[in-house]
Amino acid sequence: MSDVIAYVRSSAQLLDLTLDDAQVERVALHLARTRGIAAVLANTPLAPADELAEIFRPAPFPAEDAAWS
Amino acid sequence: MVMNTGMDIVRAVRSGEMQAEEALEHCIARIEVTDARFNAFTDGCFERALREARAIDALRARKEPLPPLAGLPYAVKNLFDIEGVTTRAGSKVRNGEPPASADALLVQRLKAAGAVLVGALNMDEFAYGFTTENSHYGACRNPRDTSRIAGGSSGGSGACVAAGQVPLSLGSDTNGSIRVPASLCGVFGLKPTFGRLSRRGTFPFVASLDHLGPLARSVEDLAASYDAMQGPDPLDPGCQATRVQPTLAGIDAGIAGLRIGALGGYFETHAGPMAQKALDSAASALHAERGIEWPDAALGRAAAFIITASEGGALHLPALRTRAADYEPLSVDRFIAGALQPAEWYLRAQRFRRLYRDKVNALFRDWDVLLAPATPVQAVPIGTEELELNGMRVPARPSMGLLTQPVSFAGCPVVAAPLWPQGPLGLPIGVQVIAAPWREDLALRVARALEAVGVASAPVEGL
Repeated sequence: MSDVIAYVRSSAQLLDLTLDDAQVERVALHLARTRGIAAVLANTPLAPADELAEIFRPAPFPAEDAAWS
Repeated sequence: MVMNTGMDIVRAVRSGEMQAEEALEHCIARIEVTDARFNAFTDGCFERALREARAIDALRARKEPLPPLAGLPYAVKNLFDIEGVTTRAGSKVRNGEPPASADALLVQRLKAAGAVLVGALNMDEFAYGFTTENSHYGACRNPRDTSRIAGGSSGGSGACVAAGQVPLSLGSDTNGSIRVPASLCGVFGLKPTFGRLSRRGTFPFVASLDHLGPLARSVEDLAASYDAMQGPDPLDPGCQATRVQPTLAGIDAGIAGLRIGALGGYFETHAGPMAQKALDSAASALHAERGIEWPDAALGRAAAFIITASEGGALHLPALRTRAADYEPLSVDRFIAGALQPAEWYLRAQRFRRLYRDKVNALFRDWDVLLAPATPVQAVPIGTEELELNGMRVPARPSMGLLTQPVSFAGCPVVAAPLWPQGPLGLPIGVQVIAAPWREDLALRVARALEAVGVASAPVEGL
């Protein structure tokens, strides 16, 4: 947890966010939880060619209504 | 009158059985009598509503054609711009902002369709929450049991419909914010395909994930209002639909020929007994095949969580530098934590989303519609910090979105249909009726089938 607290302090400073000690603790708690969530995703293999989702489109909008029923 | 659905009102106005002004007056009276108990509304715009209703009545008096939603009263989550009203988005920090100079595009479209805007609704601040325990404007209370949450972030949108204050409302859904209040308040809700409805003129939360949609007491009202709101919008870069695909005429087509499955795995693990019972009822009524596996649901939720935090935090960073103390205490630390997240977490989540979409879309080669519970549990008491879910203690507030987040992350359209697993005197809980992207027609059709056989229903509370 101390590493997350140090991270919160330094990154907040970089972003011009003034946080008191109590805020740093609370924010670090949230960030530590998210680190756990991010770790799950970090274990998912992604190839270098796997680009970001573009402005997200779930599927191409259908050109025709033929399948529409 | 308050028992009427929106389209019942439209038919009555059309036939001359009722005037639009009369329907509006019933709604205003209901709001004035009940809202002290529910706290669903933050702003009324009754004078405007009166003008809109009278314009409809004047059209009819002149025997001119009436628009499709003529006289239908509705209200919107207070992140929708209403001309002349400050768009608070549930916050205190936006109270000093000038009033909106124009209506949100969906409000413009509903106005053109003859609907009558009554006011703006309570919500979680900046839509970051699933409970509408708003510290600035007070918690929105669930009309089914006022000691309990209405869900969120569109809590006012669910509560006003359940309470019979208006038959229709609009909400937004980033990770479940239409489906969660629909589930907990016992009303129908539609989260369309990501990119279907324009978001122009609404205060954003997470541009990569934000959707808008209606809540109502009938599937017919959902379909009618959704059809009226459809249409391309080149000014919303996220609006991908290039034409209208009407649904209303097809909602009674039934389920013959449809391949319907019920999700297991993650969606079973994270569903409490009442959620599972509701799913069983819906699956039985629809003869659905059980135990269908949604790909990478936990990873989808994780990625949605990270993208939400990063984009939400970044959006609010300028205000957080100077006015953090004026933010909602329940979410301000999460906003700040999100703003500080390493870029790699966010980028990985967006890269994963591309693969996830392909896997989810592949699932719909085998299925037309999939079912899942909408929330893990029914509405919990206001202030609940933790709940027990299948033997595990979990944080109550974020857990309300456990079952909705993986679905919206793929962008699929969903109707949340309200079921009553403990009978009509118990609390409701919703079932998600999920279809492939751009197939709102199928989700509405199957939800309508549940409504038609009486498995799903949304009665007005207290009548």
